[in-house]
Amino acid sequence: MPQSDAALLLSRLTRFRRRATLALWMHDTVPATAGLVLVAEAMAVWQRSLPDRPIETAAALLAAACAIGLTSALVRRPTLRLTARAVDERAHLRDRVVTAFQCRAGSDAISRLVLRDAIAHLDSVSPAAAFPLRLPRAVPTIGALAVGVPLAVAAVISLLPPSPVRSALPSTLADAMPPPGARIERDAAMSDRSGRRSTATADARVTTETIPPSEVERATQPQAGRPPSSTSAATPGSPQPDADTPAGGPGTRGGRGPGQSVGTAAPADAGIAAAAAGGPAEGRGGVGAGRGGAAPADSTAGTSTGDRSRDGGYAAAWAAAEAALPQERIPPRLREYVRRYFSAIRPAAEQP
Amino acid sequence: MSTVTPGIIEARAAAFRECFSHLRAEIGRVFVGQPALVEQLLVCFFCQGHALVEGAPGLGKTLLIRTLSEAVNLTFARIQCTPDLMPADVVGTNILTERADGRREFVFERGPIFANVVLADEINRATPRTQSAFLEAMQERRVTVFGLDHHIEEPFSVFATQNPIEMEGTYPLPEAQLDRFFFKLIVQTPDFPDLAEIMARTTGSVRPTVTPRFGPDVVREAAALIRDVAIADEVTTLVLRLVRATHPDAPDAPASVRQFVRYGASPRGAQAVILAAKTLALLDGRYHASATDVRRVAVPALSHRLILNFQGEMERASPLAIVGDVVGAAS
Repeated sequence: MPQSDAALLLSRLTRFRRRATLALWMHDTVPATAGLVLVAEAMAVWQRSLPDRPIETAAALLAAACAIGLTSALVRRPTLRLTARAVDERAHLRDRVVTAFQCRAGSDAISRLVLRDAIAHLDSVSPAAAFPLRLPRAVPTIGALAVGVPLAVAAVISLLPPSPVRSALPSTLADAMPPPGARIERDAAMSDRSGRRSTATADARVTTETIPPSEVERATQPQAGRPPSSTSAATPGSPQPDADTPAGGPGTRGGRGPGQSVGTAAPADAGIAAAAAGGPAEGRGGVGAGRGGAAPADSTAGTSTGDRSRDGGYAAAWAAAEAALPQERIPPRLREYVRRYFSAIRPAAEQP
Repeated sequence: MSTVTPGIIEARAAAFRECFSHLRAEIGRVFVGQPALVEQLLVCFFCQGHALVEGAPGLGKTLLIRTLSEAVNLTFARIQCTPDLMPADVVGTNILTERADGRREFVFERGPIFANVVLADEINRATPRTQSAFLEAMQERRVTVFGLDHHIEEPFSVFATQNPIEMEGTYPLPEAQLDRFFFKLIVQTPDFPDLAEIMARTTGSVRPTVTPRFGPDVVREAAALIRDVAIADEVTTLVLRLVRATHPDAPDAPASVRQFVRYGASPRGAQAVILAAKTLALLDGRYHASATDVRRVAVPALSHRLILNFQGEMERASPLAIVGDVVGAAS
């Protein structure tokens, strides 16, 4: 039965191909792991710090390497013909299998004999023997590198001077922030029309509580004579780019219509910027709330008590920052950055 | 739908192997030593090719060919080539004969070329005109006399011998004729034990005799079966690479080919390699040719097809070594 012989041959070959793919996967995963480890180490050197969660990072790297190896093995998976050739070479079958694969569609007597002969020989060869799961020869070297390079990286990082930004931030930011859990009352203008009012703690966590709709209506009434936004040219309802506030998450951009946007990040931003400048952070009262739609930490139309409290805090924060900026340890690039930041969050009352 | 079943093929293959073994054994009773030469001669014979047997005088070339024909019950003819040998002496001619009714007519008298096994002894002593008489017979398996074609019955093999030492008064075979030989076989001088064995066998009162067995049908069936043997594209590609690599302008030609060869092997060389590889496969009990078979037969099948350049001639470059380089490079 030529058909059954051909099907038998193909099923045998498929087994061998599966095994070859597995061997390829194993072979490819090792260099992928090494490559990812090296990339991670390069990033660690670049950032001058080790990962915060080394075990999770290592597991993620391993998983990514396995995925890369699997993808590579599947892409490079041999065809059945190539598998037949490989089996011939590895099991010394003298071109039996590849010839049988070529003859599988033939119905003549010779083709049937070739198929039978190949199947009989294939049965005596195990896929594991033909395609053993061998690690690449470079594994000892790669292993040594994987162990040695991280140690070297850690040593290098410990010897390098700390980043000026990072050295400045932790010591002053803690001082700049209020104790965790201290609640900062948001202005009613921060509430949206659904009646949910945003509040934020000093550690930038945002919680919501429900407020009566009447309070919302009252709070969201635009005040006559005050422009919706003093610095932004954004039209109501359109998101406003927050390129001026790159120091952190500037707030939740709503884009839901006039007076609906809720900004929450101004306190942290002000604190960070002030801390970076070496001064006290007192800008935590400022919350972008306005009709401009987007409510980053820019000076959107502040008609609320939040704006008023921010006005006072702004002056103090800017004074402290201005006093700290000339310090030599502040890189010039960051000085300009702090100036731009304070310029961006300047309240409307203090606009020149 | 072919009526040939695997069982029939296996029976034919078994008969072929038995015939081959019988011939090898019978030749071994008469011709001492050199098993590789005997095997190559038999491979060439079962492929229905022609062989150029080269060796010094007295090494048993004629005995080898005669024994082959006797052992398998085939007709044998020997043509001793000399400068005055005429083409008609090889292929035959029309002779005027008188019939019973008194009428006279020309009747074709077959020459020795119509035997199953033809030994053209010292073929390089024949004139080019006579040598060319072999051409058509060897390639087309027919001769044309007075405009009439006369087919040569198979099996048909021409074994030509030549003496590599005495070149005076000879007419070296032209390339076109060399290319018609399936194999070029070199008969080596026997080593000491073989020489002693030859003396023991040939100087006593008992002369070894050959037992004839089988017949032309077995040879014909074997030749047909050999052509049916499967060959994978990869193996064919190897053969083509080998043949291409014998040309000095080929990109994968080894250094010796670039240095010493003017022109490489022809497609006939590839045909010879494949057929011989198939024969070896069948002998090995397989129904497919392998790369190993190809490498085994590459040297006898290709060496005589290389045309050396001036440097190769001057430095007496060995075509056998050059083909060996080609095989090594292709592997």
